[in-house]
Amino acid sequence: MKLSDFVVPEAILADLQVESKTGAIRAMVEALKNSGAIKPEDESSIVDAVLKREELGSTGIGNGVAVPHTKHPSVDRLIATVALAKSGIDFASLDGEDVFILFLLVSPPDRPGDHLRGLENISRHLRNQNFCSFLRQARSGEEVVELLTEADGDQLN
Amino acid sequence: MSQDSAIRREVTVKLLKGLHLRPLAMIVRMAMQFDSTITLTNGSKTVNARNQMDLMLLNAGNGSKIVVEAEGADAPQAVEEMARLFDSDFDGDDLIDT
Repeated sequence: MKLSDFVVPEAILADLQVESKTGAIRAMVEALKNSGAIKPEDESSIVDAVLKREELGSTGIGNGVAVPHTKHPSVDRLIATVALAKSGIDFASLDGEDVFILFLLVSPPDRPGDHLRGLENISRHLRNQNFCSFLRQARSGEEVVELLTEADGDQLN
Repeated sequence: MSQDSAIRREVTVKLLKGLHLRPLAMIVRMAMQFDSTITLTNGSKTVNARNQMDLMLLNAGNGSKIVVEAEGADAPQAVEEMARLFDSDFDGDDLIDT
């Protein structure tokens, strides 16, 4: 499973400027709606579902990364978007640090393995220092897409 | 870690969803309570139990055999508590739909 298989290029936010975790999640789901990947009528229930998942435990997984996610019946395949927050956002991560890189995933309820595989994929790439630092320096959605493609092709090692 | 002073125990993942984000966070919080260096190994992959992102690379599905290893003054307690966590239901994880 490649990052470019499920990240929606038009929904990428290369310069997310929000004050809160909730603001970040709303902005990313809105971006998915604006890109057409999710329907407008599903936007608020997806935001609610992602926030509900956060209540079970923060998806700030450390190292400046957060992976908010949910299952939702409105999607028939895994979709995701990426947001880069240059000023950092408090995501109540276990390591106490702000997050600068966010991947938001929405997956179909009947395919539980999909979002786990998506998360594993994302983690694997994020362990690559080059990927992380280039991502944090990206200034546009296009640059992020290029980076994801290079990561998929193992070209960043 | 040196072979002599490390304490090791094999545990089994008993979660329908395997070691996904939620139980991994519980493992990190558990590991943070001890001073010892703690690692988990699945097959040939060994990761630091305090790093959630590294833990995700373990790829440990239901039934996986994991080796918990700790080295330090409180290693016996660390291994004991970690084993107990694996033996528990991770706070009803199977019942929670994430």
